[in-house]
Amino acid sequence: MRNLILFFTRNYYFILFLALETFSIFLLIQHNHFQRAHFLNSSNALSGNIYETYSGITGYFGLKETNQKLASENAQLRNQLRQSHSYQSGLETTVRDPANKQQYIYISAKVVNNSTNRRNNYLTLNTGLKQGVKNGMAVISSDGIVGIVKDVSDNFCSVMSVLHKDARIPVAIKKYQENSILTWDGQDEWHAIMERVPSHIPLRKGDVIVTGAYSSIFPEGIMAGSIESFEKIAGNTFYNVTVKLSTNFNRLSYVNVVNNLQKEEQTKLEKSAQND
Amino acid sequence: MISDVIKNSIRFIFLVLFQVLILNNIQLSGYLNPFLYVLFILMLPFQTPKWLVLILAFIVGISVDMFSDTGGLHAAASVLMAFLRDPILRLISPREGYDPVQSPTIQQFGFGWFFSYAGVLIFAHHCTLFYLEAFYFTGFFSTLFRVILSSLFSLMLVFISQFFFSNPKS
Repeated sequence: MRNLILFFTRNYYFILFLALETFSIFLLIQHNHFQRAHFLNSSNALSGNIYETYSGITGYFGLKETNQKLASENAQLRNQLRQSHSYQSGLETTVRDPANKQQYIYISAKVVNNSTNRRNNYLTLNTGLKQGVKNGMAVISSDGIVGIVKDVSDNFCSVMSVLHKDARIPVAIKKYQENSILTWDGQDEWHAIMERVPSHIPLRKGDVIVTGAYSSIFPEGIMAGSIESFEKIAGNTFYNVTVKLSTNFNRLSYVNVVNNLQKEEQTKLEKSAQND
Repeated sequence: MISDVIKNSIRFIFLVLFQVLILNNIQLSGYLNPFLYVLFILMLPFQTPKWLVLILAFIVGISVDMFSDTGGLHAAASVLMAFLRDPILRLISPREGYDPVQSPTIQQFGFGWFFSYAGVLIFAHHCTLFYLEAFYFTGFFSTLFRVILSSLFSLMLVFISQFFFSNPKS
């Protein structure tokens, strides 16, 4: 006991320093959501499970519950959106009841790991098979498209970001309903490109790009970005378009995984048509 | 002693207000953010107890934080800087030691001494501040660039202010 007191009186300076420093950093983390997300991220880089335990302990930061609540509420609201429902357009059905047939289910998830500075970027989410996530589902955030689920474990899934050389997202220029494919050239995390947009379309800077109707993964009309610049290739009738992405990939924290309930039916039909 | 307390209190209030009202609004470029309030920690008299330096640094940091809405960012950087103050002072102490009632000033100890004293502490402070702010090391060199430029700028301001805060005779 005396040794303990002696230890404290001898090292009071260092202990006081540690206490004040820890308190400051605690305040900083508690205050700033951005730092918080990164703090949790770096501690999670070791393994997803350590992260889970850790965030369980730091639950009292409060921010977590609030965010989660908002995210799941968002998912719930999206479930009720018109976009989530497919309509049987025909002479018989004239009533468009939103509760008629649901096509998309949104599962809220937290981004546990994320990269933007590599050529092929991936995200890790804290939802997996147990939460109903499967391969090939779309991932979107409140700002726009994020990526496509590539691998699923029990409680986690790995998402191929839009910032990936294999990512090919069917998109459309909202104003003209002109379909195209969005790819990433690896330049920076803010921009992607659309190739071979027919030059007869009167493109303008700022035109909104949304996900197209030809995608069996993404719901139609999800924000992707806006046109930043476009150039005509000499001797060609196409534009190469640079798109400013609407999603800030550096700041992703909560996202939605989109389950298309009619995807299987659609792809099955398309395959059988191809086989003919 | 009492006059020291009053003098440092006034300096505290002046520096915090000057920092949050004027310097924080200066946008020279993304790379230049001077932090003159560290001058308060630099200029505490030698006789200030070590633990008091830590606590005062924490208070000055948290005051700036409160105004600039940064949680405990400045407090963390200031406390680390205050912690380093004592070892640095001991490392570069002149042969005859310090006079406890005095403050570390450029007039007293000369340009070279003050440059190494303020330079090291300001660099440590800015390093902590900018890396905590960025919070990861992906932009390591651009952050380092910010640290170096801002440190030089703060150091320059500290040197200029030396001629305002202390009278040359003492």
